[in-house]
Amino acid sequence: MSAIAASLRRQWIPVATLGLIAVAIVTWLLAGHYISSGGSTSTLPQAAPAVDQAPWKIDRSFEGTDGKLSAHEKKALLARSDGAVDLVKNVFDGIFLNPGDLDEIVGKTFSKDAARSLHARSLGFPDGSTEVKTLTRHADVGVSSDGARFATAEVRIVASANAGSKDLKVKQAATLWIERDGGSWQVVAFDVDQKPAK
Amino acid sequence: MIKRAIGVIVAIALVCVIVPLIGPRDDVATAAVEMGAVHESYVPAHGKIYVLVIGNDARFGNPDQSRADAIHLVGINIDKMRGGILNFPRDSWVSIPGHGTSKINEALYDGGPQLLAQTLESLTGIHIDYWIMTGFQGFDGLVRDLHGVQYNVPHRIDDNFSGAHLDGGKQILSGWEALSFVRSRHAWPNGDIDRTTNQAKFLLALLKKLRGQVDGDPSRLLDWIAIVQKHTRLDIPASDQFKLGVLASHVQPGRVGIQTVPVTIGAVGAASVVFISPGAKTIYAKFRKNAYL
Repeated sequence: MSAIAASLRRQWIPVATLGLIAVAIVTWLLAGHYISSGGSTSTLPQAAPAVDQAPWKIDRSFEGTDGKLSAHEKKALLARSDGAVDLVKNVFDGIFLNPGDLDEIVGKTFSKDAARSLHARSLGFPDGSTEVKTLTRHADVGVSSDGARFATAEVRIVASANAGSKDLKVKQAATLWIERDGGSWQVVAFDVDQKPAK
Repeated sequence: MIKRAIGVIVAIALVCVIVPLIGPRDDVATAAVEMGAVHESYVPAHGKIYVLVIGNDARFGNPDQSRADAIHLVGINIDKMRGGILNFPRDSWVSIPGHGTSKINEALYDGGPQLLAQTLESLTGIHIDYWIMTGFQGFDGLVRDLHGVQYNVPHRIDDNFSGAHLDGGKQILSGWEALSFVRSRHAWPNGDIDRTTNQAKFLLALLKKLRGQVDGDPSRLLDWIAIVQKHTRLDIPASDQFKLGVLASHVQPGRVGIQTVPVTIGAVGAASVVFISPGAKTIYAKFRKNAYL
């Protein structure tokens, strides 16, 4: 019995030692210590550090009514127009932060004409840009008070990124004309202007 | 014999009572602006849209059985974002499908906006997508709810017939002033021909206001739609109204040409009419091809 115990102890010690070393290496890698003292990056795969993005500032208004809306009416219009607000956020997150998803987002939520208008322009940053950071994200969303059938969104975004050796900064002003068909919202027209920002 | 006469009188009485109760009479009585589709489905042909704009002569409180005082065919070329307004004098002597030859404004009386649209389609060969019609009350209400429209009146106007008493120059016209201006023909050397041109220019002033407001704040389009709806019996689907509004707000007034069909003044019996000159066919062909002038 004691011989078996001694044998197990002899096997366990090297296994545990190897395990500890493996955990240490993984921890070290995850902590980002793979950059050598000389500043050059190692050939190990790089996990992109998360970049803080500006919060969305959404101002919503209800248009086309002479009188005041009741609290109940406002609540209903807010609920119905949430989809339009989500759509706006998705589109611009697609343009700047998730360009790989943009085609799918546009395919699902843009009319053919609006999609053509979007694709006709080179928006966001060039392929391969890194450290994309939205500095301001603001949308004025007007919702038709007649049952939230239609909405307009005036969107202003300032963002920066690094493309190779260049630091880029752009400002984008866009207008979306959005229509609700049943439960889903569709962009029927899209205007956008993107310029370099100081 | 007496029984038969009573029967006829009762039948006439029933018709007089029942006919006004059926159909859209109630709507018409309260609707100052009416809009509708000329054909069943809305399919812009090759990026072109044509809308017939009608101003009828119905007085306040008497919106039925009106004739067309203002007849304009508005075209928009979506690809080029250019447009045109083709004006037809109300006394134009034309063939009205199924009703012989008459003044074009009779088509509205005989068969409503649909017949007027068919008359113009037959005359020009242009496929009209929608019509929109307003009367005195609707026009006044529309301009009033828009808080007036800026217009450059070319000179001092005094027209006791239309009630227009306006100084020349750029000014904000109220609903009533705008109505008296677009109705005025006695203050102009070419009467109705000048009036129809002025009406088209006022349409451009409306477009300019729409653009100016929507450029500054896109959500104002929703207010415009609501203002139109307030004065409207709606036959155009809401979705198409929205799209038309978006489209209109994208067209620069400077890219919309105005043309009045060339006419010669004449008479048919005791009625003074205008005959559309053969040269108009060239204008129709160009407008049909391009949707702009």
